[in-house]
Amino acid sequence: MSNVKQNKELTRRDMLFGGLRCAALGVMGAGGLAAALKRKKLLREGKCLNNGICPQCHVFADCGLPRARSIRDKNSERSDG
Amino acid sequence: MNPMRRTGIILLTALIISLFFCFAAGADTGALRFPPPDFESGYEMPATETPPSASDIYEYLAVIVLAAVLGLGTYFVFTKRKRKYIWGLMIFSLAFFGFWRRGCICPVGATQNITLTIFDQGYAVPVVVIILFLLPLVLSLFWGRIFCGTACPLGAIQDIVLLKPLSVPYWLEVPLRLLGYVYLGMAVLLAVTGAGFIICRYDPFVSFFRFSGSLGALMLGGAFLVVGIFIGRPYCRFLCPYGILLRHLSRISKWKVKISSDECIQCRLCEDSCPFGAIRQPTGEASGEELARRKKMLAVSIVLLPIIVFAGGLGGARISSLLARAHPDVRLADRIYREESGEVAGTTDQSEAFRSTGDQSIESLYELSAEIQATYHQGSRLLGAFLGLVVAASLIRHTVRRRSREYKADPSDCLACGRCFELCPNERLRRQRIKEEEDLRVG
Ligand code: SF4
Ligand code: SF4
Repeated sequence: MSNVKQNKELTRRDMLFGGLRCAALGVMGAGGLAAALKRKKLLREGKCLNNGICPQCHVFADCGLPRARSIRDKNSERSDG
Repeated sequence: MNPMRRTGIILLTALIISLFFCFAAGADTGALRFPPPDFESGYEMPATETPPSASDIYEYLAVIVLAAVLGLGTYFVFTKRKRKYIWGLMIFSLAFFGFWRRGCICPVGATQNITLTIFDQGYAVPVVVIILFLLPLVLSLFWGRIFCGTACPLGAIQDIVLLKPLSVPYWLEVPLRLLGYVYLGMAVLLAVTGAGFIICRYDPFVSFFRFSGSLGALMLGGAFLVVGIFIGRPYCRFLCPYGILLRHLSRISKWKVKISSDECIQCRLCEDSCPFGAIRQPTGEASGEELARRKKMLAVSIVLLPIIVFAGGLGGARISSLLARAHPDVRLADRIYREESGEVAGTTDQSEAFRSTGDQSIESLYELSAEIQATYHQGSRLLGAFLGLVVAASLIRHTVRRRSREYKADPSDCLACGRCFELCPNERLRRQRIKEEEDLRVG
């Protein structure tokens, strides 16, 4: 195979890889954004984000759901008593 | 090392990896379902104390540290090109992400959280987890597997025990690598169906990071480390699901790790330096006969592709009932059915607890189990087809001949450890030049 042909192949490959990279970046960016927005949406709707693992959940301190509230109440009862 | 011993060690690796799957398949998670009994004496069960979540500051700190390690790692691998810097960074990551953060949450396990976020409408992950998961992947699109070489604690713990590296023959390396796809597929399937997060549950090293764990987990981790003395990073190469994502993204990375900083002179000094089998030899000119043979093989592989995918799908569907047993509700329903029909005598803790709580009727449990099994049927079919596709793609990849005039680090397998740099005479010349320039500047 001549060098010219090989270089052409390389450029074609580079272009293909460049395109794939952009596509992958786009998918990851869009996916990341969608996941972050989903979290916001669930929080707004007052839904549990973490399958009820309250004490280890990031929003436990401010969570208004009944389970989180009752655990917080129990915790404060325990610390008072 | 003599060939007998080498074969023995390689077989041992295969055995440990099979044991890993048995361990994962046989573990009983039923205890999680066991509800507290009703005490007639009035005894009150103490509430389970779970430590509060780490404050958000620590979570963001982890992201900042990861970004810094990846940035520094890229600089060390691509500019400094020195193993000792890369090694130092790796040790830091082992201490910070492994022992200090206790291996959690890491991008490897986050694969499942992200999967569940995609498939479960009621589940979402914190932004920190999204960033931790995506950062190494995005980086790999540009610089390859810097994360594996410098930031991953699982990789680091295996790297430090690698004292007497042996090469795994290519014919064995390729099928062993396919196991990672099985593990990734299973992890996705089990996460989606709510059966659990197997990557975290069967993480072989987390018990070391936490200085605690079941005997089985400790033994499994220990076995990986013992094998890791001879076989470079067995978990990374043959199992890690996140490594598979990194592998594919690195293949199209913009900049690749180069063994030689200059044109390769084919001195062959680096040939055996990679303990992870990532160095590819120059191919030379192919004869017309070989090209014709490869073309034929390529055509056959392409024809075989849909057949293998279809067969994989069929095979997956056939084992769906077996896979569905990973779900606790399916196991419970099966147990109750066998007890009710008199197939087995006696009860288990789970079946007794199910009856005594009375929260759910047996019929509704059966219905739930049937629903889950239907999901598994679809999921296993897809999993089988996916594995078929992986096998077919691997066949095609091996029929395509890539021309290369130099020794190259295969971007998909290179873990950016920097070992091969040290042996390249071009690299030594480069370092000497830099030193001379620095001396001149100082002088
Ligand atoms: S292959 Fe997986 S476990 Fe190994 S270093 Fe890479 S991400 Fe970590
Ligand atoms: S830098 Fe890559 S090719 Fe070189 S020894 Fe390390 S893993 Fe192997």
